[in-house]
Amino acid sequence: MRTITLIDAIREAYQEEMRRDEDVFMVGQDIRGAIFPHTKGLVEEFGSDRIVDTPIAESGMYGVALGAAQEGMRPIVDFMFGGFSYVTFSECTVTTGQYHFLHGSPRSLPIVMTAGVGTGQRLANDHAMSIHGTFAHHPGIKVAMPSTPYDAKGMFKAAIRDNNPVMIPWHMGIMMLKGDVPELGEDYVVPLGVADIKREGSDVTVMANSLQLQHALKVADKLQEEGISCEIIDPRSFVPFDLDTVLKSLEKTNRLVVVDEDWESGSFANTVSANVMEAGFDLLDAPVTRVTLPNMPVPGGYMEDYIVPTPEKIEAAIRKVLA
Amino acid sequence: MAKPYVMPKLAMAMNEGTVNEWFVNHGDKVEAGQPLASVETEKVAYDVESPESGYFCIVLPEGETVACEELIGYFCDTPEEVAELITAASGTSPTDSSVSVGWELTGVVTPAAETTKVIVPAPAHAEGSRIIASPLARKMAKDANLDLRVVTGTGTGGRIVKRDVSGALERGLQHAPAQMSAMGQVGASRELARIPMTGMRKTIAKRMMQSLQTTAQLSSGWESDITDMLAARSKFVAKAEQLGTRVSVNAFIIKAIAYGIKQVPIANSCQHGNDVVIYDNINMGIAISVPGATEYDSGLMVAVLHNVERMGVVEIDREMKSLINRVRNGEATVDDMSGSTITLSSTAGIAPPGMTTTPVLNLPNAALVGPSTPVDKPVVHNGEIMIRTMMPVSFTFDHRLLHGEPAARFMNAMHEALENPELMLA
Repeated sequence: MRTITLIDAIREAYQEEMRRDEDVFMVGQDIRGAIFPHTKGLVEEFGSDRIVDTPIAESGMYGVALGAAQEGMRPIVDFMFGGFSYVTFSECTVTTGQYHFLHGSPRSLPIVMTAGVGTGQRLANDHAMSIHGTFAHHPGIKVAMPSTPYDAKGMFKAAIRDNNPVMIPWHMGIMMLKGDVPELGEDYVVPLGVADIKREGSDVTVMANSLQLQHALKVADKLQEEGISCEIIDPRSFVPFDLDTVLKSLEKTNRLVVVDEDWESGSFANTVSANVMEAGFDLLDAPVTRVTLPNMPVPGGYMEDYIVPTPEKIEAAIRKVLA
Repeated sequence: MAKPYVMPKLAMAMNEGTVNEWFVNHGDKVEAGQPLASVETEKVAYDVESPESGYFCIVLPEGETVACEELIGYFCDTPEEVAELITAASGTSPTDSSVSVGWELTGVVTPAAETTKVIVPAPAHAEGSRIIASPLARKMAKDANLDLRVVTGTGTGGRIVKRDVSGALERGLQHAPAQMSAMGQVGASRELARIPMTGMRKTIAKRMMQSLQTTAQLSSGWESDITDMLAARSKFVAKAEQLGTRVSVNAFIIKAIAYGIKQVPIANSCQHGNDVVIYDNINMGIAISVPGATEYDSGLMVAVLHNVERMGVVEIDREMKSLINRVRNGEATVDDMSGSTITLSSTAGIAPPGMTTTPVLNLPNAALVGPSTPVDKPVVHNGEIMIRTMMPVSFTFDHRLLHGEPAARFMNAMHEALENPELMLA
């Protein structure tokens, strides 16, 4: 095992998969210059044909990927910031997700979409928003987001090898988070659609991902001193979603807090809440409680602190369901 | 600062108590020594005097049972403090301070804990009112056939949650309504009444099981000719007015038991730990049938008539009747209900003539005498066949404490006294 950062783990996934499969290539803005270090050094190894920089023109950039995928290539599209995927929203959600169904095509679209997302950098609106909930809303696209360097490398590799379109953003708040990953050359993937219990507990189940998972783990440590035992589940994938792991946990805890760094309205947290109510109503001893962003734009600067989920808000929600 | 008031431990053996009635209302000014509540234990109901002065705040609703030392009320310094407690518990201002609010504790409170934070509201569930309960609590209640109306919720806003249902099931609450849908179905059982296995019913069940499981008890039976005893009794009955009581057959039977014990003292013994304790005085436990929870069942209590060896039949009869009255009126004291050294359990008058019984021992007594309904029979008396009144008597004894030889001697001594009432003067 080695200890590396999450962003380096993503780069290793790109490198290993591009070495493994010639059809894998990358398209994005300033990826050769590596605004974010997950593309650092890629152009030197794989050349400018496989590391393609484009102008600030998301529709064109995504069109390259979509056309190449139709011809059998396996593109990775980097939107840099998740909010900018919405510039080419119709193509990457409706066209991509429904392509197979609408056209009866035997061809799959093995496109990987990625972008930095999330709060914590105080960058405001497009630069700070989450997109996993919106993409999860659209049929035909797998959606996942890693929380640790190990998961990041394994999940990006799984996404690149997947024949379906996959949106796999990464959270800027944990890009420098360090964690253990297997030695170089040791090939592994983390399958999409499998949740992970990041901490076992018995009193309350907390579902959280990425930066919020780190918050939740911190809160669990604190509450443990009071004898409150939190089970922390990282969904890892939103589509497909591993509901069974959550229900199994609820058999033990009977209480669920869903932390989701997204707007409350139409969020993935709502989907989980509804799923649990339908499939696990009799397991619940308290209402499913969500910790999300209020339904307002993410402000820039320090104002961001007032709307984001925080350890304090997560702790309050846990105490509420335990009351 | 409000001073917590906990369920008092009124007797050594008292583990839990039920507040049958509060004699005060929310916010009433009470003085130390004033009757505060009627508290019922497994055996007896007591009127409890207030240990403090102050404005009283009721926490435990009437009819609810809690363990000793659990919070049941508060003494407050001012009426405002009572109102604050109610507000803190219900989240709203009280509109009528005389209305008792349902409360429940979320944690154990010791008398020293000067805090009100532990109280959360629990609405009493009136017939037909909506019950707030978590899905899990509803499912657990349904599986256990538990009526949620009898459960007090301790969750947010008084919601009944898992811990409330588990707690209620542990305390043995059930009270599910009869299944009316079964009416008229062929082969279905129709419920007439449901008797909760709580309170006295639970105590009886526990003690009977304990008796049968922890002793080597067996019953023997015989018949005694009580014709002469009845003749003696009729002389007392003729003087009922002067004596102040119509002396019963039971008084003579108790005398006969006392005679038997004088001959065979070990029949008057109890097991205490690893010792068999034989008593000098005779405290006669008398099994008394009392009304049950419904019209279909009855309760059973063993009241104790102390030192019967010093009494004549008239005094025994008077004291016994007064004791039975106290028990049936719920006025029995702790002494009335404890300390028996031998038990009398009669089925005379209820059972068919000549029936013998196998009564269950009343622990920790080593022996129990069970007379039943006499019958007139042709028997050989003084060499002639005559019609005499024969009374069946059962004797249950714990073979670990006294074996067959002393038991048979006791039975024979008692038999002699029953047949020859003059011996009772001994």
